[in-house]
Amino acid sequence: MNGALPGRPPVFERTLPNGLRLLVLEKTFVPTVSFALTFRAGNADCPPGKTGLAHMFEHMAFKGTRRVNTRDYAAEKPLLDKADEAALALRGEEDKGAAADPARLAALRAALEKAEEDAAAFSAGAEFTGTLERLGAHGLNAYTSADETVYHLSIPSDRAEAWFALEADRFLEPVPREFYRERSVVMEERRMGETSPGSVLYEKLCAAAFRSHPYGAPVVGWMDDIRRYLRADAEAFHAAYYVPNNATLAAVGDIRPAEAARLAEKYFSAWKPAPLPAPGPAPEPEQEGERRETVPFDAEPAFYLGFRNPPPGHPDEAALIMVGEVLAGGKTCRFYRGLVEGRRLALGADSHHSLPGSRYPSLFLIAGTPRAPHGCAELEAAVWEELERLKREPPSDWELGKVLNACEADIIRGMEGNSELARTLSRCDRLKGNWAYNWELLEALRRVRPSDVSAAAGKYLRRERCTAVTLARPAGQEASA
Amino acid sequence: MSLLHLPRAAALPGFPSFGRLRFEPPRVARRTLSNGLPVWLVRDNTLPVVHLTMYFRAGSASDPAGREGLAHLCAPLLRDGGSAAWPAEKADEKLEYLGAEFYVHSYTEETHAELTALSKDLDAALAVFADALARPVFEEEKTAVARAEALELIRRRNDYPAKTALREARRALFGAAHPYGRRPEEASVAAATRAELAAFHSAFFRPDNAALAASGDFRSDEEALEKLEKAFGSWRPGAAARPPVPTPAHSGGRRILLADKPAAQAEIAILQRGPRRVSPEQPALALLCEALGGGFESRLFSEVRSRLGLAYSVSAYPALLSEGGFLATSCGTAPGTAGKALAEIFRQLERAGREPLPEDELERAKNSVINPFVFKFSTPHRLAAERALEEFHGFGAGYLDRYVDSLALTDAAAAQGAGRLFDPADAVVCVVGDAKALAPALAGFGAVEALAAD
Repeated sequence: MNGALPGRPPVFERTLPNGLRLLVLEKTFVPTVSFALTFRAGNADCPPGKTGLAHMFEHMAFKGTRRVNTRDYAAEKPLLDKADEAALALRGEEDKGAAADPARLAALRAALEKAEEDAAAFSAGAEFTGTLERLGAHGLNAYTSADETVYHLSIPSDRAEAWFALEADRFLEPVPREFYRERSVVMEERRMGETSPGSVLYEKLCAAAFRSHPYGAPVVGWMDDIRRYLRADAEAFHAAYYVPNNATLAAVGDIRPAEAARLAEKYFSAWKPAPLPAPGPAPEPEQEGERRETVPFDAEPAFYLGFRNPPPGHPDEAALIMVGEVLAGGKTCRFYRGLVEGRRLALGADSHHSLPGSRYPSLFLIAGTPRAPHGCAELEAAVWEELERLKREPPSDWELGKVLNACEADIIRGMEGNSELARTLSRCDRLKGNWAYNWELLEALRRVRPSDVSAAAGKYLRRERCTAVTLARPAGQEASA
Repeated sequence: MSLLHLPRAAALPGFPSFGRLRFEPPRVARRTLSNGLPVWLVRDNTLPVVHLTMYFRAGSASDPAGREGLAHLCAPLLRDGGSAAWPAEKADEKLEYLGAEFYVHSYTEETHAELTALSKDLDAALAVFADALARPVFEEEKTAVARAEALELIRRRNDYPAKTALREARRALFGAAHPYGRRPEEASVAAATRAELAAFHSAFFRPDNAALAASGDFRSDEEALEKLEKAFGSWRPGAAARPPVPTPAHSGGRRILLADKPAAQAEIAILQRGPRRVSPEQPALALLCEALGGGFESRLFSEVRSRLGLAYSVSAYPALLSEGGFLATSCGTAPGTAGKALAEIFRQLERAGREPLPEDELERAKNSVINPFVFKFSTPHRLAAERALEEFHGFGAGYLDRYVDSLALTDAAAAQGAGRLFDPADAVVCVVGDAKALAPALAGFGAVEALAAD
């Protein structure tokens, strides 16, 4: 290498006959390979009343199949069905709300617990995850976002075939066993978020900014929706979205492309494609004006501003990314110099150009954490002053050059670790239609002029496009713990 | 190594079978600069990037009394506070325009300074990095900003209950004045002067108190060492001794602390004393922690989470400190189920202490720890770092080469010996949540002490 900047890596691409996309990049520093399987299926694909279902299925994808995690599926299946009946009965009573009979509720809960315990007698523990861990899998995990669900792990390369066998089986014939216990786990996951000031504030921002579009729902789901899930809901989500024509598999590491292709064909060919459900949710209506909400919470203050973005792929997108970097990138940015140093109003002020996702029109986020004794109002006013200044005074060539150099360095650093690179490649391929999206984005950023940055700030970072949410202790409450 | 006995997944048609993985990490030669700074260098020309990590034996455990928080204030100022040849603003602009990254993080006994730069920018980035580490000046405005940040973080230190639980359990385990248990306070941070910061740096940030891991796109090892010598050579040795570490305050028995903070979830942290970082018990401890609280098949995960559905987050891990660390078991659960969760966790801790690990669990734990060993070395920089840390942490050369065998040869009896550390009769438990709801449930486990809000 010796200093020369690399071009795009030699990624091998193939689309299997069933639509599954395969990307392979060979890297042989260590004898390991990282896999990332991205499905274009996320919270944005969950209907009202079933928010969080994509995430719930992600949990279920670790529970095995007809062959794995079970001693005898034929015996197990009717017991799983019995648990479903018990869950349905319980839900019927819970749905009565205040009118529910407490004794009947207790009995129904006990019945559900018993039914799942009976089914669990046929479970073979954590066979799927256990097998992989014993084989040396590292970082076996998954995540769900508004846009996508990604399953990933790294494994010593001589046992890559074991991964293919287990992963294919996992998505061809999953069995969402222990569903109602895992539903309780997801409720605890939700409670974990409810205990975090940052999560609570972010949830409020999305709900206030998106009143009808599913970007307004939390990825973990609303508690009442989680409570009402049935196993059939998870199965239906899988049937609709977990098809090979909706997935990209990336393998990065010590694996030959021909070998990866051979294994993909051997294990994934039986996976049948299907048309995806009719295109997405209705667009969020135009925002009628500035929205402001306060979130009472026992923590020090903070706020988010969310500005409505243009639709994905809009010509202004690159300029808006630049706006974010000029305002909040590093320690030479406008926010740090002006608000953290300078006026010393902030512990921090950051931005993100597209949340909670980027398949649909999203939010440009600015986050502010004031430094006592200054509060949110004062810091927010100062943030608006910086925004107005950027609209009036275009950034310097130095500022833009800095951003471009940082992006380039980021892309190069992103190629060092196999796992991160596998996830990036598979995600870009599935969501942007191009694994080289980041390289193309860099080219688009190079074409942004200083005046474009000011124009984009002027067009989108406006009060009438803004939703502001502020976290503050309830009046009269002292800090606790 | 025996062939891995695969579970029923082998019933998948044509499922291949595997033995235990053999991976031997490459050796890395130890070099030294003229001032004694040891350097572990791994050249790799795949990508045009270079990484440097400088490790210092300096952290919050070295804070002088009355200046708790000094180390955590000093560390970021090495990056942000300017240096003899580089005013802070110029250093920021230089590094950021290059897209280079320079971070300094401090911990209890260590501070890590990390630099990443494109190899074409090595000379420029290295000049800033070396001057910052050897000759920081703690500019007044930057010091004021860093102090303000530290004070704000103290104000916010109870906003996340899981952090509070862990911190307060640690404080109780070691003692509020103990180097491992102290926390920064407004008074101690406000009182820290620039002269004291400079004295702290001068005492501990020396080449004889440091180690350097360097990797990436160098033209040759010789050229890399020449550049490092040029950058760091004038940095003189002469580090102060680290203060001694007294025995921890908590010598036995169970303490239960309850901090009132109503929330959707209660956070539980259980801390128990652990052996020294360099101890023959560490392999057994690693395996026991894996069996107890590492991964999907661990006892805590499969019981507290999967079977009982009481928690999303439940785990056990060993925290290593040179003079004796701790075992941390933690769990987040709704207040109404905290009693049930704690009972199950105590039951598992007690089992870990009382019963030898069954053969299949010991085998699982070994495979789960040994087979991913290769991932410690997944990039050139991770290899350089691991080899540097062998010596830095006092293990000695060859530790990594013996690591796998030390685990593989641990038998059930040895593992059980380490299990006594998990006896829940000896533990500091800190729970943060709705005290009214939690106090009755916790009373069943021992005397509950209310923890003041601060």
